[in-house]
Amino acid sequence: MNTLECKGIVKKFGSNEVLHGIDLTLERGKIYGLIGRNGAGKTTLLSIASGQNPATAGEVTVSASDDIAAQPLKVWDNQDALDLICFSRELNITGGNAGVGGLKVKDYLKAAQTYFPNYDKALEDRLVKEFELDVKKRLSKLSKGMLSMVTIIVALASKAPYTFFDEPVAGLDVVARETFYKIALEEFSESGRTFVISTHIIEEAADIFEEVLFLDKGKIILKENTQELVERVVHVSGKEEDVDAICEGRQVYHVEKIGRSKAAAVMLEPGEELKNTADITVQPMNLQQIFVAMCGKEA
Amino acid sequence: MTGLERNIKYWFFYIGKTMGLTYLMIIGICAFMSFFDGGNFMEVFSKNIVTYLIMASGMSIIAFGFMNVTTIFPITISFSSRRSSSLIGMNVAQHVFCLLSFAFAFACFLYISPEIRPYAGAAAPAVFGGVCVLFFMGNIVAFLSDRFGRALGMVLYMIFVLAVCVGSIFLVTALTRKESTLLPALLTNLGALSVIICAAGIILDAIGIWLLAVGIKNKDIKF
Repeated sequence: MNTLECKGIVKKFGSNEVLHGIDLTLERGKIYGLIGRNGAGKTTLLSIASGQNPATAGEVTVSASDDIAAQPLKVWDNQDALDLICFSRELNITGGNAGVGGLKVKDYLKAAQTYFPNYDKALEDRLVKEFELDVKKRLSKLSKGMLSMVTIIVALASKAPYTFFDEPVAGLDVVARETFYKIALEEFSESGRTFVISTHIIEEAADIFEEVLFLDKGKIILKENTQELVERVVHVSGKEEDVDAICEGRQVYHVEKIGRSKAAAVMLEPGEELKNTADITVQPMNLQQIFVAMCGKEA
Repeated sequence: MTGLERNIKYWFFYIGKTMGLTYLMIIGICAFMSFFDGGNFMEVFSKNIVTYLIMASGMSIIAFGFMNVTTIFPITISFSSRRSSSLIGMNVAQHVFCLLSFAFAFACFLYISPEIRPYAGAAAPAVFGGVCVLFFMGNIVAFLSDRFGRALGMVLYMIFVLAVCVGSIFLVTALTRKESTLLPALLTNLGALSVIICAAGIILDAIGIWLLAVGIKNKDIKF
């Protein structure tokens, strides 16, 4: 099957373990949302999955074809596998990497064109036009939003079958964000590429995620179809004993008690439905609320 | 194109463009200065260009060592390149352009110093070895700045250079002692001395590349 697989990925920085044995399978032709708090390990996971940084333990493999008999390729230090992946990193042109800022946008894009084997120059030109980006400017002269545009252009124009976006909409204004979602969807429906999009702006991007991955403290705590997840997780509130009765035997996230009342986020079985009663109020939750409930913190 | 070919292409473009601009500037400055010097234009120009080219090429090697590994190399990795391919591309491009500029400087030097021309053949390997030593120094600064960061890397590099200078003084002192027969023997055979310098330079250059390759092999790239 055409997949990218992470098996038992552990990453340590010194004695600090930031990823704890992550197992993850990304299928071709899906848009995944990678959601996690700051420092959860999103960028680290993507950098390892894309073969840009080594894992302390574990292995990443990618299948180049639909042929079941074909051996998956190891991603680390393997150009055939690396050619299938693009991880357009968030550009940070301050501090230790200030030298990158000296490059002009056109030079940066030219480098991308040289390296990605399926790079689409026409798409690059179209995106540059849509984002109204001045390619003669140096990266150091660009705003945070414009730097995000550059990384988006590289990622989309790379035409890599597995494309990872790291906070692509960070700093983008609402018009540019809409443009990004529109073009990403267009590109997805045309090419059937796999996109993994890490973002903090959950609700805005929720509609384009086919599946969501919740990463918390270096562990994937959930991998689920977005629509099914939103249908299955509900907010239940009412008298403590009534809520407890509903919670029994079910996966419960984030319980709150106010006096004799209680509220909880509850995961229902597939196809199961809870209705409002005189004692219990059942409310749907959106993706952002579900994420907050699962990570145990209030928004 | 294979990964290595893409790297060769990109690094030749990047280093060629950077060095090309530097050399154009140098040629311009030299031409300007030679024009106002009043003497034979070609003679003064050749004299100036030798000094400037050697200086610029030497500085470029160190500057590339300092900048490329910390700035351009991570970009190539983020564009899904293998580390070894990028390192090879970087070193090949640096070697080709810097050796070409030294060769040009050497040719200019021979043009303005006809008395040296009979020794050109014997001296060429020594010049090549000297340039290889510069590459070694460039890869050392690359290794140190990659491993310890730019500021600390530069400080450690200065300490390294100081140690090399002190070591060289001791070596030369030992070789020029009265009872030493090695140096007088080598000085009577400049060709052999030149080949020894060349071989030493190549070995040092290879050590520098190997050290850098080991340093970046499993290192996390940061953006």
